[in-house]
Amino acid sequence: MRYTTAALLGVAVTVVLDLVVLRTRLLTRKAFWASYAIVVFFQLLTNEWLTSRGVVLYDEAAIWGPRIGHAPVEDLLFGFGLVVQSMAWWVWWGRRGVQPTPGPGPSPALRRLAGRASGRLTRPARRTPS
Amino acid sequence: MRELTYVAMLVFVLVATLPLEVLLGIRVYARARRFALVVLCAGLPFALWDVAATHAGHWRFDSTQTLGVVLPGGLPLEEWMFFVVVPLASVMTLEAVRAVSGWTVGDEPDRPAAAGEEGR
Repeated sequence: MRYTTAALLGVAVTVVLDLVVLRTRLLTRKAFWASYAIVVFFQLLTNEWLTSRGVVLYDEAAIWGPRIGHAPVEDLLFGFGLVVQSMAWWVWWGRRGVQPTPGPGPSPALRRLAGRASGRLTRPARRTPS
Repeated sequence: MRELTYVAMLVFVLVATLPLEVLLGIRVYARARRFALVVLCAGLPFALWDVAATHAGHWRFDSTQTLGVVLPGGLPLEEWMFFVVVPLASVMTLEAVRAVSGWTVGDEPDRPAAAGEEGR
């Protein structure tokens, strides 16, 4: 199987995973697309670093041909799958009750420090008084 | 210096995202167990794809631009770390967008929908 085929299959699996299997439906959310816009910018940047220097070298026979900078377009699809699946599993495990909301956490001191430094930038605590 | 080419990119991503944890209080590092499950469920399958693709000859790595540590599967250490660092940056970005925008991502406890949200 060529990289091209594998990458397209990867996208299909990712879409089905998000919409049908996990039902996280990130692909329907504004928060996801805003996040992806940020991530993909950095992906292009870091992947250009790796591919322009030849840290990763591709077999021409395994790829379709078009490149974004020095990276084959397939890398964009590979990255899309990895990013979406990472976010989807994060949401899914959160739903299942694995560390769902920020707890007391290990670094209240750091948090207080950040609170002082950034003032109202820091999000108010989510915990409701009981 | 040449052998630091790949690891420099990973360090860049970690350094660029770390302020989100501290300044926005997104607490992804603080939820290490949940993140470990992300690495297992999302990072590992893609790492295995990477191993298979490397063996199939789709791509290879220039060992002179890596630290020289080769891990099981024939991938350089940096390539394995890629599948921890990229999921971390992805999740941190999602949490940062949520913190700043207030948009839902789907794991919120059930409560009356806030104004401006487009439902689940």
